[in-house]
Parts: sequence; C-alpha cells; structure tokens
Amino acid sequence: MIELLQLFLAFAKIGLLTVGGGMAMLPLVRNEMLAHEWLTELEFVDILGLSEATPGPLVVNCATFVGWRVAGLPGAVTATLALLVPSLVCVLLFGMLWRRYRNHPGMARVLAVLRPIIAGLILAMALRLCRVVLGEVAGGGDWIQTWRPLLVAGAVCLGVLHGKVSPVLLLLAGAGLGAWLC
Amino acid sequence: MVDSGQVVSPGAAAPRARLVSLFASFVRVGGGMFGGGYAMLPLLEREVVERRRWATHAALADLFALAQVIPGVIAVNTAMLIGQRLRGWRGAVVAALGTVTAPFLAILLLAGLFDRLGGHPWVARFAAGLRPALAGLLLGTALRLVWRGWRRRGAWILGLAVTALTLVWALNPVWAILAGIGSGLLAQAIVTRRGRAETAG
Repeated sequence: MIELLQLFLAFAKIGLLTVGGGMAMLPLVRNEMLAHEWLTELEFVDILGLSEATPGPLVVNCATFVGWRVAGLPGAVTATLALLVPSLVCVLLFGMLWRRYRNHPGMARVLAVLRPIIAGLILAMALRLCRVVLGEVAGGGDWIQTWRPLLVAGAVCLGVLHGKVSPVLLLLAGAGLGAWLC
Repeated sequence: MVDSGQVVSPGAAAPRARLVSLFASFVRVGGGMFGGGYAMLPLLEREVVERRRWATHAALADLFALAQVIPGVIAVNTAMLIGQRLRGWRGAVVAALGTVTAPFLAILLLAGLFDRLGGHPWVARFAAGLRPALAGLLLGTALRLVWRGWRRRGAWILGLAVTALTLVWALNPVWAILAGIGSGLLAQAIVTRRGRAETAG
C-alpha cells in the first residue's frame, strides 16, 4: 500500500513538472527510479528500450512498465493514472487560465528558460546512460569487445541526427545489429 | 468562395460525440502511435478530422499547440482537450483513458513475456543489442534538441551549466525545472514593473 502511494506521488510529480513532452520527463523518471531504488540504471535502459519499441507515448509506456515491476498490476494501473492526474487537473480546473495566458509574454519567457534547461538535462542523462551501457558491455574486456557496442550506438546516433528515418525503426535495426555483433 | 465542406469552424460549437466512440477513437490513436508526441498529429487528423469530423484541421492544430504548454504528456493533453471540447469533463477523462489503454495492455503483455523469457539466451542477446542502440538513440535525440534549442549564447551557457551540474554534482532535475520556471516568472515580473515605471514616469 505504501509502495502504491509512493508510486502515485512519484508519477504525479513527474506529470506535473513536465513541460514540452515525453523526452523532457525522462530525466525526472530516472531520478525517481534511482532515488526509490526501484530500478538500477541498466534496468531503466532496458525498460526505456522496450517502451520506445511499443506503441503509445514513451513515458506512459515507461510508467506502466515501472509500475508493473514495482507492484504488479495495481502498480501498473497506479503509475499510469498518476501520470495523467496533473494534466487532467490542469485542463479541467485551470483550462480557462491556460487559454487566456497562453500568449502572455511570461509564458514565452518561462518556456524560453526551460527549453535549454531541459535539453541540458536530457543531454546529461544520455551521456550517463551511454557510459553505463558501453561500460557494462565492455565489462573490463579488451578493446575488441568494446568497439561493437560503440559502433551500434554511433550508427543509431548518426541515424537520428540525419533525421529521415523513424526512431523506432532505427532502434530496432540497431538492436538487431547489436544482437548479431555483440 | 465559401467552403461548404467545413463542418465546424474553430469557434463554433462542436458536434455531439458519443463517449463510446470517443473512447474507441483514442484507443485507435494511442495504439497507432510510435515514438514521441509529434507522431500523433497525422493519426489525430485522420481520426478526429477526416473520419469522425469532430473538428477542423485548424481547430485541431490550435488544441495541439495549447497541449504543448500544459504540463504532462502532449499526446494525452491533446486527447483531453479534444474530449473536453466535445463532451466536457467526461469527454476529457474518457479520451485520456482511451489514449493510454492500448499502450497499457501492450506493455503488460510485453512485461509479462519479458519476465518469463528473461533468462532465454535469445532474449538476453536482443537486450544486449538493444542497450547500445538505445544509448545511441538518446544521445542523437539530445544532440538534436541541443542543436534546435540552443541558438542563443545565453541558452548555450545555461544548458551546458545544467549538463555539467547534473553530471558532476548529481543535480536533482526537479530543482533545475523549478528554478527555470521561477526565474522565467521573475524576469517577466521585472520587465513588467520596469515598463509600468516608465509609463508612470
């Protein structure tokens, strides 16, 4: 019961503090998962990978998966709904406010400050996860074992930067290449 | 020329939608979207505008833009706003639940499979391949965000400072975001006050 309450509070907080969509949520999710010791960094990576490859908004998938891992079906339901509650409150209770102030210069100013902060948070998370993943695969082994995951990560990264192919396809192709190579 | 094909103008009252069809439509949208929130717009246009004729392209684009500034998942926010427009608070709840239903079931299925087959060598191998691929995907996405969002020098410094603080001192992202919101509002308050002082003086 305590666990469900903690899950609810964690994901409601994540939902409330996210402006600008799914990717912006991930550093918050990672932080909550590690703080509560619900997941290790590698488990977080696995769950992210599976969430990205499954239909639906990335963070919703992630919440369902984490909830399931922590407390089974009740956990999955709690985490998923908790993510929706803050937006529902914002839309239903403060919908008029949002409509009135959406073009207010203050809103633009807050978003202008938040955007680089969120990009910085995501970049830090990406770098850290790269280190964990590549370090774990290398596992103190020699260089020959290290270049394969580096090649996979680099290829997918370049594919994303190129920006013409769907990220899901890139991820699955990368995973296939990785499974074959590693 | 009068566009007679336009059923609803952005300001006009929306046609009545049954809650069941609202739910079904958003189950379809939620189940069909892969990846991020922007993948949702074409699906929404097909379902909400072309198939159901609940809103025009213009009205939908407007709600989608509004959904970006409301906290939370953009896809779910858009669904809530459309549901609310059509059927009030019931519509909002039903549309939100519809959006998460298909992904929820898919994840439960996948999680169950993963837990059962986790020890299988093929699954382990796929996971081993998935990890570096995901690391590359995240890094690429982060770099794109940086590229797009950091055109000004101030933004560069702020963003790099946040990255460094996070990596070196494990800065809690909650504080970073709250500080961002706070300083944005503060800056706006200062600008407003200065403007008022100038008009008064």
